[in-house]
Amino acid sequence: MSRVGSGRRARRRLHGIDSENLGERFAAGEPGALEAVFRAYGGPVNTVAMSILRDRELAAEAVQQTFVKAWRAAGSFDPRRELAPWLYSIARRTSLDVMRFEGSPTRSGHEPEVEGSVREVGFEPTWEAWEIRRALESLPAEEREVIRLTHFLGHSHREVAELTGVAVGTVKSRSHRAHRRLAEMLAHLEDPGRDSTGANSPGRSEGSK
Amino acid sequence: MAEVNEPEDGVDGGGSLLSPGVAAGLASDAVWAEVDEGILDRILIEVGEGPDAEPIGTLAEVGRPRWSRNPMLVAAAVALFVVATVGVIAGIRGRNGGEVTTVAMIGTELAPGAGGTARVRPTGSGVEITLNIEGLAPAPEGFYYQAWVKGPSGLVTIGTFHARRDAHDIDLWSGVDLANYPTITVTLQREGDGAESSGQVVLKGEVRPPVDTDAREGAPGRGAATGAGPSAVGT
Repeated sequence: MSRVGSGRRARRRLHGIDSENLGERFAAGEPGALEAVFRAYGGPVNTVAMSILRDRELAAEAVQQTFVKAWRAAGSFDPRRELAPWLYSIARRTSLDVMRFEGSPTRSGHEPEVEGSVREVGFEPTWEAWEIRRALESLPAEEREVIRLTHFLGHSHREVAELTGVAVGTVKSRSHRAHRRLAEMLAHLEDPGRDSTGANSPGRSEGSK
Repeated sequence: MAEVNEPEDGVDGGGSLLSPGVAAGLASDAVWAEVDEGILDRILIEVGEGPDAEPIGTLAEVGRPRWSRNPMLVAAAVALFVVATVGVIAGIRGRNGGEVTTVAMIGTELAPGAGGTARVRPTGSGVEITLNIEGLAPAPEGFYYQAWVKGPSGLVTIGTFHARRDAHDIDLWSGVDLANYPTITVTLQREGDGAESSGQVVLKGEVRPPVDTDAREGAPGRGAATGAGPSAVGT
């Protein structure tokens, strides 16, 4: 993959979602802050939950519990730090807890002498999915739609043009811009060593197992 | 994963700018999964209008978590609430108004200097357990701590942690009724050794059943042991 532009600049843009003092407002428990954080991070949290649980209903439960836990722990969040890694860790841990519970022998009526085995879900894949979701949500809607139609649904540019009613050239332009933006914003995922500060990764912090 | 079709005229639409990993991510269901519209409402209902607001206490039937739709679990939660409010060492009002039971967590001979509390709070979808532990060494590289609840019905995990940061709350969650799983333990686990308990218990505490007033009056020694001081089991 070609690296385009400054990864750090792009990451600042990706992480700019923490702007407008959202972390401070959240930590202070300000009215409306929980809803604002949900609107900013509901998608990425859902992506983490779906990556781990592979079930919409369970993922919805995990998303709900993630934000409830985060809100109840808001007072312990340091607003000088980024909200995203903190929230990601809660989302991942909560999703794993939901999975453990669903996999518990007690759910199926068996004697739970031994804890049910839990499918290990790698740390990096869920973090990458989180970052990809955040990057997608920062794209203009028309560019995001081109990415969805091509990468997720497998359509050609010509098919996308027919589906969206715009010229093929326009589709290609949007596609190229979208890919360039994604490449910039997600450059850190291809080479984590570039960011020696670790500022863009939550690391294997508490509860990250 | 869906493959991206190449543009018919050979002009690169930018797909080559992305790594295979990112391209794979863009093709995954999880990345595009829509968020349930009703979740925000349910979150706001569960927490009230803010962290200091009184909880509403019940959720609308539509959209309730699967756990809270299970009659057995609802009954268990109710039973636990009764236990929590009647028979334990310290029923205190939590930050958001929920009744909190505090259980003493005592270090075993594997961690004699460790100790703290487990705050237990029933919720509509399970039991929230918050550990506040001091004196527990950070998990060595390649190891982690795992918390469990156990009782006559068996052993169920409630979460994992490393304790590699300064003292802080560790949020855990149980979907089972602590009336049947009254003992809370923390074990030291080796990464890669599987999901079963290692048996190396470093902390232990016990949620006590309600105090039987009559029995206590008839047997003072028992009553004193049940009703006063932190409830804990040392090993």
